[in-house]
Amino acid sequence: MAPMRRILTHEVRGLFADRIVWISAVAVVLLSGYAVHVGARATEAHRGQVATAVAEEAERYILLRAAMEEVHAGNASPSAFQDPTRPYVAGRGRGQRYAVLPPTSFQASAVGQSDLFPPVVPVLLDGADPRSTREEIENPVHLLSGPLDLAFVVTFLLPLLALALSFDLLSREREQGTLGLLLSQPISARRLTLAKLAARWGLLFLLTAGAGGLAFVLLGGGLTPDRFFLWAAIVGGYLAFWMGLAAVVNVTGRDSSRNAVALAFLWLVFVVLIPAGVQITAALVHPVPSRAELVALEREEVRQVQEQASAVLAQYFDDHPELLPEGSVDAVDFQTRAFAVNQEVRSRLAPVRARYRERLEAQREWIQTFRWLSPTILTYEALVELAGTGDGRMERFEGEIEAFHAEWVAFFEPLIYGNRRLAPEDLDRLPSWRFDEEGDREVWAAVLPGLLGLLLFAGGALGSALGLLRDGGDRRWTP
Amino acid sequence: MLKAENLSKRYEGSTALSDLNLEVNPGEIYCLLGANGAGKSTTIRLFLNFIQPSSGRATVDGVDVTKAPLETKKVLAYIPEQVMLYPHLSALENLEYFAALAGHEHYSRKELEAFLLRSGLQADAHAQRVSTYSKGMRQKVGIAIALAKRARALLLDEPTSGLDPEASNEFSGLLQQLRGDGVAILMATHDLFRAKELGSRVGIMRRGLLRAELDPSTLGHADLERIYLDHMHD
Amino acid sequence: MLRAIVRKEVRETVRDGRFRWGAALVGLLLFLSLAAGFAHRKEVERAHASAQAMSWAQWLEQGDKNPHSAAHYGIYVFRPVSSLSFVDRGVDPYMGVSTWLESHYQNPFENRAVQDTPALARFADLTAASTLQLLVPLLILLLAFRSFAGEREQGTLRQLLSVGVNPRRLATGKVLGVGAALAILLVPAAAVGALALLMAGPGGGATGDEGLRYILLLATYLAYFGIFTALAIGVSALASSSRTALALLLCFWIGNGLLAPRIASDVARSQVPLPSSLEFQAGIQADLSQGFDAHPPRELRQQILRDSVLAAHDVADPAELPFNFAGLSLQSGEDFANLVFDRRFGALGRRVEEQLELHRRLGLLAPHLSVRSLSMALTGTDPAHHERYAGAAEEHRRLIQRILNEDIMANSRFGETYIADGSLWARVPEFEYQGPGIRWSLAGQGTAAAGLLVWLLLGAILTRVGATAVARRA
Repeated sequence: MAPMRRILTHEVRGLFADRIVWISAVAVVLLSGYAVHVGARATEAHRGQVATAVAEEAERYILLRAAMEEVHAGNASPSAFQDPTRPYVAGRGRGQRYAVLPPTSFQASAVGQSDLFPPVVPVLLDGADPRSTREEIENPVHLLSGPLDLAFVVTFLLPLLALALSFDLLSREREQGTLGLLLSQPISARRLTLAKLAARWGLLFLLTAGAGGLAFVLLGGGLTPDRFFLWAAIVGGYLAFWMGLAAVVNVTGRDSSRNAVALAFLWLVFVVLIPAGVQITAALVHPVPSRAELVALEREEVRQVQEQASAVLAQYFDDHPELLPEGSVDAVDFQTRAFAVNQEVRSRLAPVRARYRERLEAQREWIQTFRWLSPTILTYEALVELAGTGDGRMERFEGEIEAFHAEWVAFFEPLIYGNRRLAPEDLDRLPSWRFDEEGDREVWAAVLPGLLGLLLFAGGALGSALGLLRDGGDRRWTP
Repeated sequence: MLKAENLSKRYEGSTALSDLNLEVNPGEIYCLLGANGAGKSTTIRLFLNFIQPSSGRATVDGVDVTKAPLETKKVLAYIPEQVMLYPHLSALENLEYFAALAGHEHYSRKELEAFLLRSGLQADAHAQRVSTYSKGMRQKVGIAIALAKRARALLLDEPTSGLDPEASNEFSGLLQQLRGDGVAILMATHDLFRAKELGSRVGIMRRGLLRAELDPSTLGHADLERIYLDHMHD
Repeated sequence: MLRAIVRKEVRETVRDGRFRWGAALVGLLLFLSLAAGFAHRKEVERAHASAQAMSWAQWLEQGDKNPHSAAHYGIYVFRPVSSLSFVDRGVDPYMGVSTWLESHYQNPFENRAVQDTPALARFADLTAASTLQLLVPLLILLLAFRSFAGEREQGTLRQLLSVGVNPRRLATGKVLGVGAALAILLVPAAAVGALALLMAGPGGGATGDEGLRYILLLATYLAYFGIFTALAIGVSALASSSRTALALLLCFWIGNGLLAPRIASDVARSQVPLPSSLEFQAGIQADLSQGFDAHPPRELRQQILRDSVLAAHDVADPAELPFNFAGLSLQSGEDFANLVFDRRFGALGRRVEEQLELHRRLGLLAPHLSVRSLSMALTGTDPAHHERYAGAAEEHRRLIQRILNEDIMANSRFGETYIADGSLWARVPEFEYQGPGIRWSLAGQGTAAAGLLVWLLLGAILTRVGATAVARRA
């Protein structure tokens, strides 16, 4: 394979003599570095929010314990709404836990959904909904603009740089007149093209992976080797696809400027139009209903349940006669009543709330089905999943919050209905939040199909370019 | 060495070459004359397997070029009308690259320089970037590439058009030398004078047909021109 | 002569496969996104109107209760959608759609549409606005980058100039030619937009204000496209080859449309940082309980109020006052809280506005920022419009509190359990929001308009310089 190596070195030398290559190289390095910086800062803010919440919770618990001890010692007798030993009070504001989503070690690589959803969700008896929790203060125009993170650089800009290097892969040889001389040598056009592609791919891949990796080490708080390996594989596959596409256009196209225009349109199609098409059809086929109507609906339910509060309570004590207080259902205090109403409203609204998640999951499934239409979707989804800022981990977080909330309610329910009081040492028995993080195996499982699809795309593009270059038959690209 | 047997090339609705039969032996220069579009370049492109014949075949040293294109290209060298090279490389670097592609990676710098010198390129130009070269100088690098490749057949597509008389004359000398070394040369040209002077044989083509094959040694310049024009006008 | 040039340019463009494909693609996208935007707007409008009607009905039918309980029960209001949001929905998806008007607190808007979307939605956000702001300019660049450079490479430029064409006139002709070709695409789109606007209004017609907004919107985008056309032709004339022209123009397109908004956000974030939600809430709580400036802490405030009211009426006990002191005390609490909210939310709003002004200033570097700001302002979908709506909702909240507290003052006695008649709730007016006029919408957009004009001028100069250079370098 001596000539192959020779072509490679020749191409690399040629690339280094080209101004566009230097500009691209500088652009890759600067953008990757800046993007990691942006991602690292967002991760830092995320970590800060988590730390603040954890600290606040710990401090609140110290105060709560002290207040409970005061009450127990008989030094204080606060009103029913303030009494920390009442489970209804402790289970709501004063003892509320935070469900926190810790940042992943690779989060600086993609902001994804993390700027929309708060990583800290209060879990209290009334509920815990990450999608309607009060969000961080942010200028909406910044959300509209989107972040300049590494995922954006890779999915949007890297293809443009790849195309800048390879839009004239063969057409340039033809235009400068060297193609005839070149192909009169005993070297097959396939091997020639392959070597040219390899030189460009290698250059851009090394630059991107190198700059990205270095930026991670310097700014992003270090590298996680296996995640970085997957990231690099995604980048490599995605780059290979665009290089292959450039080769196809060069083989079927004519002059460089036409190739450039054709490739710009292809960029538009794969990067902008198909993803938008998939997203828009997903929203059309599985529309998520407006939350506005949920708000009003919830009030309506609350009103109805309140009217039937006695019946709701009676039903509960029928099932749990051991908790029935002295006297009758009517003797139940306000807090028990409020809790029962709340629980009933929640269970009545559960199917309505579930519809939001079902629709969203249906949208996600739709996207999962149609992501195979564009390597850009595959890449983006793989990158955000890898960073832990995609829909997958978000859904996991939601699911765990729901389970934790159920645990929380189950802990307090008998205490409230039994009209019991909490002792300070009960605080140690309260359910506490622990996020069951995705394992490496799950991350790989989430990322690998997309990566495989990406490699198929790359293989398809390269294969068709090489197929079109088969010796035999007149080709438009020949001199 | 080079042989066309009933070689034809048809495009949709037009015939670029029909039933060409010709043979160029080692040590021969065969000049193809004809107007633009007569089929001269098509013939050369068919030998290089850049395009596929519609029927018939082209062989190099008995090997069909469509069957074993890489084998036959080892034997062939091609010099287009404009020898275009990589502008950011020097003559030496260009030569080294093309020689390597031809499978000759073993040449030392001295040997490569010797090829350039033999092609008539001044030693002080060897290290210059070819973007500064004149057409004649680039033509010489083309010859050097052919020499380095140890080509046994040379395909030339109007190599002297646009050269000044002195460069043209020098180029002719080089071809004479190659012929002396036993290289088979097929040259498409408009230049009746060069054809008369260099050609072992001259073929006159028109509209894809080889109309006549002549031995220039038996003719004067005026005769060749008259015969050529006769073929163009009937 | 100019007409001949324009005619030739249009003819050439329209025969070009790239134009046909590109224009068909962009045209299709424009129509689809306008249609989708229109349908979406209708649906949101319907949902919000019905939710608001429901909330209002709930308010009216809450039955007999203490007015302060009713104040806590509150009303939900839902943000209306502007009639032009089908062209540019701006920050709408990123803003909460509803807020709860209750006593004591100015609640933030909640339920952002974007929270109910998958991650891909952020990435692939294709609307009529992004088609106009990103894709049409790309189409212009791809159409025009060869205008001079290509003619030079073909050799026709020399031919043209040898006939004695004034190169400036040639450049003007080329600009107009691109414009005329684009008109084939844009005029129908503008007509469809106008039709949609006529159908969007509740009464089935557009007001004069909306019409004016639409016309200015067209003018804004026209100017934006003019910038790209002029730049493309200027660069094409100055660049050494069509390849270089394309590379330069694509770099500009990427920098302007893809990088500038993101970098501007980053710059704004670090230059004008916003408080974290926790800090902000803590600030409000601190002001409320500890007071600020000369305002004393809560207990002292209540003490002072009580003492001064008692002194003014010359009585010793609140029960002896001719009105219910509880109502006055509640209202006084509201009044003070309102001062805090005005101060805190006002400061936050000013900082956001500062960030936005920074974006508009950066529009001098990237016209995309200017056109985006103007477009959102004209369609009434920028943060300022949301802020204005939030302000109106807050005013309404304060009105509700005042009416209820005054009722407590007038109709009950200090210390008694007061249950108001259910008819009281109807004395609170229904919340109706009137969007601002165009004059208000454009008040803050001076920098953006200037940015656009500067770029238009720059484009014109570049074309002129290019034309002059062409004559020398043909």
